[in-house]
This record gives sequence, structure tokens and C-alpha cells, in this order.
Amino acid sequence: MAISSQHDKKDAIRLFEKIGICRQLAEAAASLGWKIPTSIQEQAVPHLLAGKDVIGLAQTGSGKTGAFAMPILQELLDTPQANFALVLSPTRELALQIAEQFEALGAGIGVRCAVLVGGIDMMAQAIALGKRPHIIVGTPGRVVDHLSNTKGFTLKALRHLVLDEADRLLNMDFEQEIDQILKVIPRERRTQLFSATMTTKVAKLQRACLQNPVKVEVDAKYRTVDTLRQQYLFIPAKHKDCYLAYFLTELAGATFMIFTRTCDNTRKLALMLRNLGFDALPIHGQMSQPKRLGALNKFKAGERSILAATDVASRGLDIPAVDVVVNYDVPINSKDYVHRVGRTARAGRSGRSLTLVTQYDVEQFQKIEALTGQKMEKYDAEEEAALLLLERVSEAQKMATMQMKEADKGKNGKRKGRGDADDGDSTHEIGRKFFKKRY
Amino acid sequence: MTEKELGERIVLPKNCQTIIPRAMGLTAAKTAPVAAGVKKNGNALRPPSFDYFTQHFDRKLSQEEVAQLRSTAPEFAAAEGVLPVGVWPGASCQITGSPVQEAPLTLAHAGVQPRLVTRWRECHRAKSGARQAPKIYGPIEAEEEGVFVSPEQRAFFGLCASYKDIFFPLRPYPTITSSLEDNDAIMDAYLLHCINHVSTAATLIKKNNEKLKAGASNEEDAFRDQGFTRAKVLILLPLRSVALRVVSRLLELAQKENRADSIQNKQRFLEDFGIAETDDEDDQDGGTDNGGAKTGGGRGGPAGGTPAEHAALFGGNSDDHFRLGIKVTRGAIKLYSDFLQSDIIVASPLALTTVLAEPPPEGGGAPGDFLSAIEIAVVDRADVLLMQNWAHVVTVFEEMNKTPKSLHDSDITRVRKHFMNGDGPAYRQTMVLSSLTSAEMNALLNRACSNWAGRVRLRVDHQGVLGQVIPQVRQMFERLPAPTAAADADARFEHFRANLWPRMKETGAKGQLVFVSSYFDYVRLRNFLKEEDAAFAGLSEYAAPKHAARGRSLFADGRLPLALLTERSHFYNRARVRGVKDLLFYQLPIHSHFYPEMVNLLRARDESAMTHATVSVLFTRFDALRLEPIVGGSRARKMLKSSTGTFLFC
Repeated sequence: MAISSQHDKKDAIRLFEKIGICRQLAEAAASLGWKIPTSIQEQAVPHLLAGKDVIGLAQTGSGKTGAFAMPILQELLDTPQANFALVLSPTRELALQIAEQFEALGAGIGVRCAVLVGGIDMMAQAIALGKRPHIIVGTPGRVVDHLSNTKGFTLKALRHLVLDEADRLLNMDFEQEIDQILKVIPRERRTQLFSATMTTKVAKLQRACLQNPVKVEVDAKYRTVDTLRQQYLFIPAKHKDCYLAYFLTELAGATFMIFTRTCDNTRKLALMLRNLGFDALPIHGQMSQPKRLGALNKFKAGERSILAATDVASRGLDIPAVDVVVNYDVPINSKDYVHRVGRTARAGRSGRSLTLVTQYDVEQFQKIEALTGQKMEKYDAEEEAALLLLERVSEAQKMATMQMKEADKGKNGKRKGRGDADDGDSTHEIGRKFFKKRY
Repeated sequence: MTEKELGERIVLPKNCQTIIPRAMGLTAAKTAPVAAGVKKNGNALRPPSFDYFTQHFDRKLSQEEVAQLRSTAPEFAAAEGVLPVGVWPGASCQITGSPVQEAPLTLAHAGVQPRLVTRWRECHRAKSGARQAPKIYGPIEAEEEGVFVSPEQRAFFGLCASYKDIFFPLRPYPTITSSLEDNDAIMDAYLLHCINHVSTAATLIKKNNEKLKAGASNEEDAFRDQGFTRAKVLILLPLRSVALRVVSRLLELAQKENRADSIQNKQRFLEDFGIAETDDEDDQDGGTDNGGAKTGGGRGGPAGGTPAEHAALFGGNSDDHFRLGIKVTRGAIKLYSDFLQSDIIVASPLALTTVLAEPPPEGGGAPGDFLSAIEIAVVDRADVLLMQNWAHVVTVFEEMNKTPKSLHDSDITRVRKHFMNGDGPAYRQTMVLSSLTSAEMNALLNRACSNWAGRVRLRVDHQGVLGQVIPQVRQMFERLPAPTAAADADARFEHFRANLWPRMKETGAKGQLVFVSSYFDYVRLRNFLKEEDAAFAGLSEYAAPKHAARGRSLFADGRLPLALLTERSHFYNRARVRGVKDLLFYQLPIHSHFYPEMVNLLRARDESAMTHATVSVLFTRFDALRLEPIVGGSRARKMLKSSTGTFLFC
């Protein structure tokens, strides 16, 4: 066993060296358990090492982070310098994950990383910046915050800019921040864009100031992984929760991520599931950063088996043990579907996904099928068995609504997304009426 | 090269390599002008002047070294020759860390900034008039480089300049009332060191600013020269009157008043810290104000006046809630500056604790952020602080050198590495000056201070104060067994309850005074006596003056057979208790001179009573620090070790 793993490692080192990675980093990669360079790494790394700007398109879980991290570290080895590279990501969790990768790969060469994300003490981050990190990973908002408030922090010497999940970063949401960052970094730099899905709008890409970029595509289509079993369930909207509970019981023992459209839905869903005795955790944008991280870590550690999430958790997060992804709400943006189901069946493992389709979602559902180019298979649910749960589910819904109202007391008006909550309540009303009719 | 030697001799854990101060270039640059000055003086043989500042603050410590400094107890070694012969006779010196170099010959030799040397000369010339420059050393014409006024001062300044922590328990209480006239050589020495530190740091920052402006690359860590906040020196003092004395002298030594605005807000300072117009302190029990507050003798107290030291201490403004920020710039000094903008902070522990307890300021950060970059902390008159509330001193030290909660506009590329790593305490020099040694002070230096340069501790071989006892009484010292320091108070109380109290109750003798050092013990005894339905006068520091006076008079008349007196109450009031026939020291006083003061209360009107008077003292082996100054060092050692537990002095 030991010998074979030794052997594997040697093989891995050789393979990484073959695509141009230097010995030290190849060893680091091998010791992280990477066996062979993934296809995106194989294709992108040589271009990056040659000094070109790269647009990398690859599905999630395909080693994108490694693809840009290794060449950057290799260049850093040749010309050590503080504030060498800036990696931007749209979400905080993803930023932390990228930094972890950099640190793991660069542990042997003493690379210093600073993570600049919101929701965490500015002072600690400022101190990290003061220690002259080589790599800065962050979300655009906080990076801009530090650029304007932390005296002595400049990006004038920056050599590499990487936009991970670039299509989202180049969206309108981050327009201002990205513009501000682009203004203060030197024009003589290298720029890399990486994403699973990429906008085709040239105007947007031009903003990133790429210079003769090479486009590396691992898969042109927005394809989902082959090892993923994709299913749908066509049900009336009023029985959504009921079927969800049924599905969770059927597959008890697996780990689930359930995606909803709004923060309120996530909260309510998590509460409802808990009332039904499932160990569910919510994660959404209205939670404070420590809470978000806490929830994620609990889920990662296997303490909880169900994570109810908004699209904040749909991209880039690498949680090794997700067995099933449930689309509680059909995503409005079809590309989000690819990201969501990308949470499972990662790195060659198998996984399954279930999309709950109601009478209102048919069109959206068809769009998704068109995008992925795959027909989903129907999930066979026993209607009788599912509707048996109705009474308990509506009881749990009622309790969840009360608990939410309870929790929101006193902070009325402060919270955003009031309208969403109302939506949730109205579906709940329908459920209750139905309940009365039957008895 | 001196720096090199020093760097190598420091005791390090085996696996750490020695790091020689990196900025050798800087060192050389700094010594150069001074060396030139020496040449002009015509003496090439003299050693080059020291650059303790660079040597201390450019030292790089690894994480392991810092952890070691925090966790391990210091090991002291006797240091011969640190104290010149004849300086502080009876005192010995112990150090940790690298050996102390010989005290500098002159101010310039010690690396004091030329501007300050000039100012020092002006100050002393103005003061002493025709006084001859004392010849500290050889034939060199030293006047120009600034001389020390006494060998003591020279030795003490040498210790200060080494940036080691200093415990100096040889600072007697002041006895001269008029604060500004008194020349306090030790105070001058530490003030000069503080000013010199501030001004050296400022010079370095200015020089680096210029280099950066000239286009030097800030890529390397060469320009790290400051903390997150500006304040570098903290001076903790007990009373406004003491602060008046210290700050006035500090201003004198730091800045020539050649312009009207050389010292901003000076008038306000003099008003705030001078004699308060309405003194509502509790400690004057109905004294007449005929003598005027200036002499202090007219203020309350027992007939015959208070001891000179009490008068000197409480003669001025005895408010203990004050804080003052001092901002030192090139041509001017600003008093009452904002703490975040100040170089030197002078405050009482109480006032700082109140600031620390405030809610966080609006601009972000924590209320204690201004303490983050303290590099020299001076605790002067620690003995008085001990009589106030030592807990506040500990609180302030705990808050010191913490990483601030906000950047406060500091440039992160200029902040010293050790502040970033939260290792500020390892570079802070702490000086504790006091007239006595106490367990609390030792604990503070052991727990809250972890200066990498080590510590200098002066020890006094006490002669004892038994000779000052006037009446011929038998003084019985009884050693109680106490297994641990924590069980010390219990052992005492148990002994009192089981052995002493039944006898006292039975005899019903009048005029029994129990001297209690700690207020906690006082409370315990008071509650016990209340339970026993005993009549007694409670003379604690919290008793209202009216009640205390009544208690004393009832006790003197014999209507109350028993009185409890706390050390603090005696320290603040020095009210003479009359009618004392038996005296019990429940615990020995921290202030050794209180022992003869108390025993001398037994001087009865008629000599016949004297023969019956008894003085008994309870002590345990944890009272060594109190016992030594009272009975003398050699006797104390015997008393703590011998197999018999009782000792009699006549």
C-alpha cells in the first residue's frame, strides 16, 4: 500500500512537471492528493507559464483554482515580491477556499496570503496586509474598502489579476468595485478570467483589459457531469414541502443541499425541516459572516446532513460529501442550475439532483434542459405516501412561520426582502385552506 | 563592536540562532556625529557612545522566543560592578538577560540627543549657579556633553538607557513640600530617558520620511519605525501633586520656553494640578486652615503635626483622578493633547481604568487603543499606588500593548513587525520606582512584563527599624504555620479566633489596638467581632472622619476596649490613637516605618504602665518582604527559618 502510494506520488509529480510545473510545486500538488493534472490545468497552465492572458472555462470541481494558482506561485518563486497577485471572487466562502488552496500549495515555499472578505474584522486584515502578503484573495467590496481606508496598502506593484467566477464579477452587481480596483492597478499586468459559465458579451470582457487572451475551454456546452443523475418531479406548488419531506425521508442518510430562491425561503425551509425532525441548517446572505462560516463548517464536518441555501452557496464551494442537490425553487437563471448541481458529483464521484417543478416553472425548466442539452428523468414518487405527510408538514410550516415572526420581532423595517417573506406566507395560507377542506 | 557582543551574549533557547541587530548601518550613521564631537574634545581613547535604541527595538524575536519570555520565570544573577562603589550603600543588584554595560560617562556618551544635552546643561546651570561640575570621571572636560549630578543618577540613567525593566525600591518618600524646588536626581534620570526615547523615535521617523520622499523603495521592511498609535511613554503616578512635579520637570528638561507658545496649555495645567481651591477630601478631619495649604502642616491630623513625608505627599493637590496627554514636536510641546496624538501620557491608574471602561469611541477602535504602542512604562511612587488601588495598575498593564481594534490612520508599511505580531510587550521597558518592595510589585513585573532585554532588580539589605522604637516594651514576634500563600489569611484568622481572642475577651483589658494591614482582613475581623458582640472602634479607611474621631476618643477614654486600625487609614490620616496599652500586629505593615510609629504610641503618660504593655506580631513565611525592613535582613532570615516560632525583642 505504502509502496503503491509512493509510486502514485512519483507519477503525479512527473505528470505535473510535464505540463511545466516546477519540481517544488509538483511535489506540493502531489502531496495534496492530486493524481493527474485535470484537463483545464493541462490546457491553461502552459499558456499561463508562457505569460499569456487566459480565459478559462471549465465546469465546477475541475481544478480551476489549481490551474491559476500553480503558475502564479511558480512565477512568484522566480521573482518574490509582496502584493504579487490579486484574486477576486464573488463570494466570501469561495475567497476563503481559494486562499486555502494557495496556502496549501505554497506551504513549502513560505507563501503569505491575505484574505479580504466582508463581515470579518478589518483590523486583522489590515495587519495581514501589513505583513506584505504575496497573494491577496478577496471579494471586490472589501478590497476596495481596504484600498481606500488602509493607509500604506497599494496595488501599484501588482503583477497578476485573477477573476474567479468571472461572469458574475463582471456583472452589474460588482461594476463599481471592479472599476475602482482596475483604476489603481498597473496596466502592465496579467489578467486571468476563470469561470464555469462565461458571458459572451465582448463589452464586458473588454472591461477586464485582457491583452490578446487565449481562451481555454474544457467543455463548450454548459454540460453537467456525466456521473450526475438528474431527476425532476412535477408536482402542484401547494404540495412542494410535502414532496420534499417525502424525498428526504426516502433518501435518509444522504447529505443534501437544498437551493431556494430567497433568503427568507431558506430560513423558513430550514425551520420547517427542523420542526419535522430533520437536522437542517440554513445559509444565506442575510446571515453574519461568522454564522455563515459556522454553518458551512458544520455541514462540511458532517454534523448536519441538510443545508438549505440560496445561490450564495451555489458557486465554487467545494464540499466533498454532498450526495444530493435539491432545487426547491427552479433557478431563474439557467446557468445557476449548472452551478447548483455542480455541488454534487464532484471530482469523478457520482451524485444525484432533484428539481421540484411546479405548474409555474415549466418554461424555466425547459430552458434549463435546452441549456444542458440533456433530458432529465422523472422521479417516481408515490403520491399516496407523500400526501400522508401532509398534516405533519403543514403543522411544521405553521410553526416555522411563527418562529420566523418571533425572530423578526423588533427588527422590523431593518430587514430587507420583506416582500419575499410575504410570498412565503401566502403559499402557506393556501396550504391551510386546503387542509381545512379535507377535514 | 559593542552591539555585536551584546547580541551574542544573550541567553537564548538552544535551537534559536542569535540575531544580530539588522540595522547596523543605521547604528553607524547615528554614532558618527557623536564620535566626531568626541574627537573635537581631544579624547580619542573614550569608547564610542551607545545606541541602545536601535539595539533594543531592531531586535528580531521569533515566536518561540516570545512564548518563552512569556512563560518562563526570570532567573536572576547577581551583577557585580553595576552599581559604582558608594552608590546606594547596602543595595545589591540582580539582573536577567545580558549583562549591563558600564554606566555611560556623560549624556552624549549615552546617546542622548544633542538638543537635549544642551537643554540639560542650561537647566542645571540655571539651577545650581556656581556649582562646580562634579567630577564623575577622569580628566575629560565633560561639561559640554552634559554631566550627571551625582553618581547615583549616572548609575540609574545607565540602567534606564539599557532598556531593561527596572525595579527600584530605593526611592524614599519626598520630605520637602514645595514641589518645584526639590531636585530629584532619580526622577530627572528617568524623565531624561523618556524624553530622549521620544525624540530619538521622532528623529528616526523623520529621517525615514525624508528617505521615502526622496524616492527610496519601501519594498523592504527597512522603514518600520512606529506603532499603530503614537503614544510611546506612559507614566503612572498616584496624585496630582506628584504629577505636577513630574510634568513640570519634564517640560523643563524637554523644551526651552523661548516663545509664548512653546508649551501650549501650560496655564491650564498649572491651574488643574496646583493646589485645588476646594478640597473635599475625606482625609482632613476638621483641621483648621490657619497655616495655609502650602506648608501642609496646617492640614488636620494629630497634634504635633504629621511626619514630614505625609505632609509632603498630601500637601498639594491630592486628587487621584487625572490624565494628561503630552505631544512633543520639534519646537513645541502641547499639553492636553488627544491620547492618540500624544507621545507621553501621564495619568493615574484610576483615571486610565475609567477611560478603558468607556464604550468604544465613535470613530471605531477600542477605548484602550492608545496604549498599544507604549515602549516605556514608568510606575513612580508605586508605594502610594499600592495604598490606592493596585488592581487598577494591573488592569492598565493588562491593556497595554494590545493590538488596537482600529488602524487609527497608521501606515501599515511603517508599523513595526512586533506590533503586528502582537509582541509589543516583549519590547516594552517597565520601571517601577518605590520606597519599598512588595509582593504586588514583584508580581506585576513577573506577570505583566516580558521584556526581552531582561530586568534589573535592586535589593536592599535592610538594617531594620527596631532601633527607632522608643518605649521599653517587649515585642513578641510569633510565626504562624501557613502551607500556601492562599492559606496565609486563614491561618492568621484561625490563630486569632482560637488563641488570641478568648484571652482578650477574658481579661477584658482596655486599650487593645489591633493593627490590620489589609482591608480584607479588617472586614473579616470586624464581622467576627460583631458576631461575638464585642465592642470595638473600627478605624478603617472607609470610616467617616466623624465616626473615626469618635471611635478614637471612646477608645482613648477606655469606653471601647478594642480598636481595629488599618494600614491605609493610618497612611492617609496619621491620626494618633491614644490610650493604647496592648498592640497586636495582625499582619506587619508594608511601610516599615509604621512599625515604630505604632509602637511609639505606647508611650504612656506614666512610666509604670509601660512594663505591662505588650506588642505582639503575627507573621508567616510569606511575610518575608514585610519582616525584613522591620527587623533587618539577617534577623529576618533567621526568624523565617528557625525551628522555634516565637521571638522576643526588648
